[in-house]
This record gives sequence, structure tokens and C-alpha cells, in this order.
Amino acid sequence: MPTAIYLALKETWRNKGRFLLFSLVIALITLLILFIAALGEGLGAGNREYIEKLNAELVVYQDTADLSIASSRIGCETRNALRGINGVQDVGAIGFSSATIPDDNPGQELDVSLIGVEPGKPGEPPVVSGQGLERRNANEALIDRMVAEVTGLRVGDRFNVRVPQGGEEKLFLLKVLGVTDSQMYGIRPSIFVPIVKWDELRPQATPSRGTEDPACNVAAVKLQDPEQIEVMRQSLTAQVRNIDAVDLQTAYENTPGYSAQQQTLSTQNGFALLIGLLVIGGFFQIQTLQKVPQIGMLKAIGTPNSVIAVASLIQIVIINALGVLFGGLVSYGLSLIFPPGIPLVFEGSAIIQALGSIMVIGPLGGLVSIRLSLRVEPLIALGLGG
Amino acid sequence: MAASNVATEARSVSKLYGSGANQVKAIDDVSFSVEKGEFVALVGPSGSGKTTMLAMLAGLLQPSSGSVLIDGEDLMGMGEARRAAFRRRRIGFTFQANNLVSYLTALENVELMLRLTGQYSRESKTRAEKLLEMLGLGERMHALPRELSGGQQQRVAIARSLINNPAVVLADEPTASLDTERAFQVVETMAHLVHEQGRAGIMVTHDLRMVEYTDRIVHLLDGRLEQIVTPDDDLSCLADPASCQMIPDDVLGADSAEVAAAIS
Repeated sequence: MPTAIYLALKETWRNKGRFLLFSLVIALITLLILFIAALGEGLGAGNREYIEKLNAELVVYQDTADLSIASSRIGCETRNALRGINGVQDVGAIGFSSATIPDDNPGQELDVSLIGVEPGKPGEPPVVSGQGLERRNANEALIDRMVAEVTGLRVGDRFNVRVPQGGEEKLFLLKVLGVTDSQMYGIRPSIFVPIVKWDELRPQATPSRGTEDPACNVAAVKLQDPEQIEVMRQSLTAQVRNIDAVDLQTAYENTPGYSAQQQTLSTQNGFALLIGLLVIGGFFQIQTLQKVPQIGMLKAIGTPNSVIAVASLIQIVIINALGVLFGGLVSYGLSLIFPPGIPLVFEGSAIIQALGSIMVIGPLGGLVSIRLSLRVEPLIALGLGG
Repeated sequence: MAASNVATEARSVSKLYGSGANQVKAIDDVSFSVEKGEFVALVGPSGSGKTTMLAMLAGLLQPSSGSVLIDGEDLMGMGEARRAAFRRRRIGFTFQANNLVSYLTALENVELMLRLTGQYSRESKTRAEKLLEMLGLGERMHALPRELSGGQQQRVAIARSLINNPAVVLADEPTASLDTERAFQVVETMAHLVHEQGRAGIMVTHDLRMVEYTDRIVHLLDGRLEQIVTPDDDLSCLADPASCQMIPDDVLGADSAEVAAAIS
């Protein structure tokens, strides 16, 4: 098909202004689709990141909670029962609530997820600097990378957290013991405190000093054999009363609003692709309509349909690829200058999937115009037919 | 006349459009042939069937009956793909308008035929350049069609129609959009090349001034072959069909040479 390639390249080059303009339209569509994908990934990660990165295989809920973390209560007795089951390596309590780091700290005010974990147990994230939690009831905390970036806090710094308790906002002073990697939960960066301290800090109607073995929301269960997730899940629910055990994916898919949010973004993405399909299809259709006499002439002089179709397809792919390239580069450039608090994550597989789908909709949109060019009668060259 | 000298031949060709009471006979039992090295004008008033006849001679339109032969091969006996291949190898075209590919230069338009037939090479490119130079376009061969005048575009089309050494060169109203001077120039060039290269040339025209460069004139009227004359004959009836002498029925359908002989 060297003649088809020749015709496609010549036409694209000699009409570069028009095609460049359309490539920019495709670039804008690409930008839109990539940002929806990045937003989906960012919001998704913001909801699931902590659970997805848990150093455990199963999450245990109270069975009546319907996999709602906020409604679930797992007491000390249940955790002990879980620890006693054959195949369980370790169990850690996790409590979820929220707090605010006020702007009297070095950086700006920041809403955070306040997560209570048992020091050294599943649920406590690994630190990238500083040290992990050690004492069960100390005013010490781990902060995630995002908190450190936004507030400017470092290991050894002390900071206040503000929590509503008993109808007023109370401040608690904590010391940064370590910094973890990004551990978003509930679209907020996280700080981790010992579960006993968490029981004292968490928002509550009546301020309390906390208990030695507080009830938590869920328990993270680390298995001796991580391959046996389903077997152990069934074993836990069979042997311990009033619990539900699920894998990490099920756990984060049941975090508040996660599925609805992802479905909404998928729908937006689908519509953006559909609009892209129609815009690209429309452009090439109009272009083919303008070229009908020329296509008729080409056919009259004996140009095979295959050459005309392949030339059109190559042209569509070139213009589409250029648009995707521009759009991808602009998206990448913008991603570098966005502040860290904005939930946009340009994650490899999601971006490749988005770019791949745009690369597919181009030729797909152009199929109608290719079909039209194949149906052009050579008689048009003689002013007959059509 | 030796049969082998015939480049193209229409044998009792008819073309009907529509059906039943709405049926229209666009071409009615037309027969003629064109020899190699002969340049023929296909003339007639508007609606006489000239372009329909040309479309059938090019294999672009299927006759309702009869056959069209080029170099002895029946165009309608071929499949569509083979007919297209035959067109690009054996037939050269010049159209009234939209002759050239808008995004290719004059030279590239001519070369396109070489590429389509797999004959593109350094030598064939040189041949295309020489052909354009011969047509007075040596300085303009790298210009795009929009940078060329109407006459120059037609000359590029002529070059393209001849570059593949076709058996037949067909031209549909090649002078329609040109001023008189350029029209004469284009037809003269075409006639010269057809004669020089031994092609068969058929030109549809409504401009009777152009027939002076042709060898014979095939006159169509209401889809029927009215007469075949030479430019030296009295051409008054071409301008006024009512004054024409009808060709006897027994002559129609006979070999074109016999028809021409009968008329002359």
C-alpha cells in the first residue's frame, strides 16, 4: 500500500494547517478524557489508598454493619478470637474518624483522616522516614506524605489536631514520630495515632480519656498464607460470631460513595469518548463530502477502493495520534504544576487505557467517512451519477 | 483497414434509464470505432448522450446492450476491480473539472498514474518531467493545482492521461472552462500527442471550433448516431441538426470505417 501511504502523507502535509487545527480539537478531547481518568484515579485512590495498601489480606467488619466502616464495631474480644484462629498471623484494630490540622502549624489548615492503629500490628503503615508507633497511649502520630507536604511538618515537630468533642472544638497536641508514603482515606490525607489515643481523640459527644482496649471500626487480618484468602475468609466467618470478612478490594469498594463515584466518572468518561467519536466522525465525514468530486476522479482513473480506504484510514490514524500526543503532553505538563491537594492521579494503566480508547475512537469515528468514500461513484468525475 | 489497428470500438451500444413508461433511451444502438493514432470528436447538443457514451467507452457505465472493446477486450466482461485496473493501465482521462488531486503538485499528479500502476521509478519520473516540459509546464511542474491556470491544469491532466502509454485517451469537455486561446492550445496539444504517440483519442465537446484538430467527428443526436464526418466536410448540420442528413439504418451498426465511408 505504498501509494495509499503516499497519498495520506501528502494530503496531511499539504493541508497541515487544517489538520493541525483538528489535531488540536482531538488534543482537547484527549485532555478532557485524561483528566476524567486522572480524576477517577485520584478520587478512587483518595478513597481506597490506605485500605489498598494495608499490610493485611482481610478486613473484618461487624456483620450488621453491611460493610460500612462507620457503622462497624469490632471489640477486643472479637479481635482476640480472630487471633486464635489457625492460619491467622496477626490482627490489628483500626479506627476511622476525621480531624483538622489548624493553620497555627507551619503550613495551611488541613482536613485529615484520623486513623487509630495498634502499634506494630496490621493496619499501621510503614514509615519512609522517622520511626513507627511504639507506645499504646502516647501523643504521637505518623503523618502521610501529603500531610507533610501541605503542612510542612517534619519528624520531631509537634502539631495540633482539632476535633469536635462535646459541642466544642478541642485541640490535641501530637508529636510527629514518622512520615509514611501517601495513605489517603476518605479523599483526605491521613494521620495515624495509637488506637487507645484515637479512642480519646475521635469526635464524640462526651470527651473521654479512652479505654485500654477500645472498640475499633474494623480489624485488619494478616494471614500466614496470603494465597488462602477465600478459604480463610470463610474460616473466619464460620468460627467467629457476628463478623463479616472481606478482601481488600471488597473493603475499599464499600467505602462511602466509592462505587457511586467511580460509576459517575466512568459514565462521564464514556460520554466524553462518545462525544469524541462523534466529533472525529463528523470532521472526517465533512472532509470526505468536500472531496467527493476528487474521489470520483481518482476512481475514474482507476484508483482501487483499497488505496482510497487505506489512505483515509492512515490519515485518520496520523491526525488522531498527533492529537493524542499533543493532549498527552499538555496533560503531563499540567499534572506537574497542579498543587498536591487536587485529587488528580495520572496513573500508568489508567492513562494507557484512556489513550488507547481515544486511539480506537479515531478510526472508529472515521469508519463512516471511509464507507462514504468507498460508495462514491467514479461517474461523478463525468458529472453523472452520484 | 486492418482490424488490429482498431484501438476502441463501440458495438451496437444502447443505454436505457428507468423502466416501464418512464424508460428513457439515452444511447440508442450506437456503433463506431477509433483507430490508433486517430483523434475523434464526440459532438452533439446538450442531452444528446455524449457523456453517457464516453462513460461507457471508459467502462464506468454498463451498456444496457451492446459492447465496448478496447484493444479487443470487452470491458463489460470484466469484474469491477479488473475494470478499474484496466482503466488505470489502458485508458487515459481528462475531465471537464476537478481533474487533478488538489494536494499533489503538477508533477506528482502525473506521477500518480505511475505509482498506481507500479511503474514509478527514476526513469519514469524523468519521463513525466519531460512530458510536462513538452506541454510547456517545465517551470510549473512543482506548483499545486490551485497555483495553476485552468489551461495549465488541463495540460497537466493531458500529461497524466498519456504517461502510462494508454491505448485510449478520453477527454470530457476539456475546454469547457477555458478561454478561446487556451482551449485551442489544449486541444491542439492533445491532438498532437495522440497522433505522435499513436493513441486513440476521443474528445467530447460542445464547442464545434475545436473539431478542426480532430480526424473525425462522431455526431450524436438524441442518443442516436446522427453522422460521422471529417473536419473537411460541411459541418453546418452539426450546428443545426435539423439540416442533417440521417444515416441510413442499414449503415448503423456496421463497422465505423464503413459508416464513415457511407457518409462521406
